[in-house]
Amino acid sequence: MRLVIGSIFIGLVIGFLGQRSRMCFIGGFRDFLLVKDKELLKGTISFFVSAWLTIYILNLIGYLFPILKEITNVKLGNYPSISNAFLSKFGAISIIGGFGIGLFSTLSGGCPLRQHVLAGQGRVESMVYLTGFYIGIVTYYLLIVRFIGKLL
Amino acid sequence: MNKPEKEKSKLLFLTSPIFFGFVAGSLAVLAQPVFKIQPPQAYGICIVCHARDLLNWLSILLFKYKLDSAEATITLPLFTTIGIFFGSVLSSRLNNEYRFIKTENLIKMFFWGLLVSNFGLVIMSCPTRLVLRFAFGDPFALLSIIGLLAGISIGVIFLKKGY
Repeated sequence: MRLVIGSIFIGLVIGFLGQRSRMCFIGGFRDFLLVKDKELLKGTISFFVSAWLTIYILNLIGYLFPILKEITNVKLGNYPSISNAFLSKFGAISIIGGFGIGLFSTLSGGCPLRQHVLAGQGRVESMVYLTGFYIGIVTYYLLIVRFIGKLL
Repeated sequence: MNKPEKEKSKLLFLTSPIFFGFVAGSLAVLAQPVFKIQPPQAYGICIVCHARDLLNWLSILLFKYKLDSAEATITLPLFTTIGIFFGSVLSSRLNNEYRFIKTENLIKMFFWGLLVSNFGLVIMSCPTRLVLRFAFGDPFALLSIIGLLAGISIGVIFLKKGY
């Protein structure tokens, strides 16, 4: 039950602040390339730094122990080091997946987080995007996962 | 700078992306020990995965059909995406920014949404979780971020051409 309440709390806080700050994880690099605006890029870097610091502090106190094996639910025998990751099959899939997200998010105008915020602001195009987003999740598990499953 | 602008600039920090990054980054990590949103690790904020867990819960409830879900959320749903939506509604209503805007590229947007969720489910991440995974030290997240930056660069070329 703690998990349900926690997720609602996190969602409300992020939605509220995300609407105020117009934060977008795709928008940081996109704005930097398009108009040399670094405002959103600073937000992404701030997210990374504060997440890393929180992990470090919690690890020191003893509340959190990052285990890389448990991050992805793909079964990997030995979790590869950074040089081996380039050569593995899942590494290639990671690059392709990241590329697809980057390209189509840029064309749609924001990362999924930003689209949720924009839909809450009353943008019809973002509501349509979210419809496609949720239908995409269902079709992935009904159709596409069988082809991807053979690759993994 | 005159006086009212100075007073405003103090409040501006609370609405800056840097403050958002600080709050969201700390919350995403604190979600693990405090709210028990684990396993898998680095799962505090992920739009694609949490939306999938919500749909999986609904699907089991309504059709008794199991899609797939993270270990932590087999029986309980995650309402993060719903929370983001209503947080944004609350914020835009309070600040009089709620505008009902209609545009014409709706069919395109539908397919962009479809494609982003499919590519996101292949690597189990949205851009937010990629940064979080990288903070945990995952080498695959670094590879995905390289792909993401390449994708954005090509997307920007399309945008410049007026696509």
